[in-house]
Amino acid sequence: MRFKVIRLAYQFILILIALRLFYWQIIMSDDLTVMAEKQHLKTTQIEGPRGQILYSDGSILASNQPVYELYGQPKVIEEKDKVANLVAKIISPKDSLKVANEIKDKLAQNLYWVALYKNLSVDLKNQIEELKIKGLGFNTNSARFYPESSASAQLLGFIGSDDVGNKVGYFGIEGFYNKQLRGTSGTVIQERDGNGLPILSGKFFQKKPLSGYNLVLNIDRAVQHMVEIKLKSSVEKFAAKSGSVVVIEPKSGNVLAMATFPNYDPGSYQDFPKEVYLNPIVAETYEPGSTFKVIVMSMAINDDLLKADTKCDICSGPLQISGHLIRTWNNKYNSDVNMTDVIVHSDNTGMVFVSRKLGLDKMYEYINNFGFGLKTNIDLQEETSSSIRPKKEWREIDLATSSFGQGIAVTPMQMVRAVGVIASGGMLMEPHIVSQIQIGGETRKIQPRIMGNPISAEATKVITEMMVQAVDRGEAQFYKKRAGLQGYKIAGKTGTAQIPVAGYYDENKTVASFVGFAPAADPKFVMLVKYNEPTSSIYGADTAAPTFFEIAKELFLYYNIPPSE
Amino acid sequence: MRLPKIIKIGISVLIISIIIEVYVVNSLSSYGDSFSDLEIVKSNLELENQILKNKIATEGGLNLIQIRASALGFEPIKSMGYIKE
Repeated sequence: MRFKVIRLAYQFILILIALRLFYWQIIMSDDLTVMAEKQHLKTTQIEGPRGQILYSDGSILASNQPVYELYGQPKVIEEKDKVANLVAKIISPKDSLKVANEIKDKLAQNLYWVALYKNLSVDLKNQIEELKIKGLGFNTNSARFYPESSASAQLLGFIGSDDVGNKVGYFGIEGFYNKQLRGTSGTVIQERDGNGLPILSGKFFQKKPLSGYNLVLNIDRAVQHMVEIKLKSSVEKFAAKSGSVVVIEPKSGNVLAMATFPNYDPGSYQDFPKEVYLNPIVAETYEPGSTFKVIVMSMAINDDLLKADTKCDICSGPLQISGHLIRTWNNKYNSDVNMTDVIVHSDNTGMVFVSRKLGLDKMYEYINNFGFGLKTNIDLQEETSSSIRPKKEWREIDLATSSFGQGIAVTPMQMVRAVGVIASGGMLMEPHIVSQIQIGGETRKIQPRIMGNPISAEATKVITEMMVQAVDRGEAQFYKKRAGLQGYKIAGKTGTAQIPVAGYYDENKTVASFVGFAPAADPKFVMLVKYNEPTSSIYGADTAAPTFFEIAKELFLYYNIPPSE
Repeated sequence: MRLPKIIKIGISVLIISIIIEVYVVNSLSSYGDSFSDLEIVKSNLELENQILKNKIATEGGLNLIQIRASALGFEPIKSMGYIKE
């Protein structure tokens, strides 16, 4: 009997064991497998590096660099104050007290792990490591690297974070090409032993991280440098609020240089006011003033309504239009002035004569054909455009003032592209910052794109000659001679537009500009120089024109262009 | 009962293969630390390359070159002359 009980108990226990085994081996099999894999499989996320941005010669404009996040273990670090002081002296010798206090506050928290300082360079990391402090460590991250600091800041844009902390490009090239530049993260899943070391014969799965695409720009590093140096010194010299220069190649629309001052350092954009983030060359509109005269004149010449020697029959004095008095800039009038002299002397009454010849319908159509009122499609994120008023809202005074560039708003990029139409023999080109996109081993070239053909090649020759005369005989002639450019044929036009403030024009606040191209016979570049509110002189002839000629002189040397005369 | 020769060879190959596999797997398992060290070396070299590339880019920056050229006495061209043929 006793034996029978023992046997039954034994059988019962065996059944229990079998049931338990069935539970672990069959029912819980999947869950246990996952738990086991979690213990011995290590998953590592690898960030795909962001693509580089390169000048046209392949040199680096923006690349990547390793940066380090310093962290501390408050429960391990013993002499917290001493550690904070030592580390702060290395991180920020000038401001060590402030940094030390910040670190002390963080280490005083009742935590196992705390981030102490971000974005440390390799040098600083090495110096801190040499202290051999127990409880300090580093996490490696990647950040944008700009070899020339604030060079081309508004052109580049910067890298910030989105709502969930992902890196995102904002403004400029970084913003426009964010999708192409950003890398794709990869994953490595590897079997590890009890010490955390990889088991070579174990499971291994790898999804390789992909680098972002590299962008090769049309921007010429040397031209960009010349422009930036000259612009900075000129903005200071003319005591202007800001200044911009853009240089494009007329036949391709390629942007060779683009600079704005004041600028900022994209590596520490947080330290600068947000107003400087936008690139005013594509994101701000202004009234172009007299530089617009060459565009309106080219419209009338293209339609054969006027010739260079056509006389103005309404230019003997100021014009009264709808209660407004239209004057010349110097209040001097010539009843026999011809169209070339209207451009040379920047005669507003002469331009009213031209606008009346054109009429609203034609002028409105041409303004659209030249690309005003529409985005240029340049590959920069923040491009904007003010729309041209509907035709039915135009009054006689609007037609008149638009002929000399007041009451119409354009971006500097629209303006330089429109003058590029004259320089290229009549083609409206799409401006391009990027020339090539490098995808792995492949290269995708961005081809020039013609957007329209607003005027004929014959008309461009006539207006070009007028612009050459404007440079040689106009208000800015002195500055061309002073730059030693007598032998060169340069086509250009000055512009001084008063800035509208609260419904009226402030006479002392102007946008001073000069737009032109050279050599006039076979233009290599079109350039626009623009100053906002210069104070040493309010005129484009005394501010923007000298800068134009000084940059042009360096460009002639750089491109090895000899004088034609 | 004697086994056919082909089966004998098959069994021998199988046993040798198992021995080799066990040996290789065991040998490789103990190389984890070496592999880990190699990964660290590779990562450090890549990092160093990136730092050196960036240093070259900084040293080759036109702003720096201009400053150094000025220090050496170089000046921008003030006037240019062209010779006619």
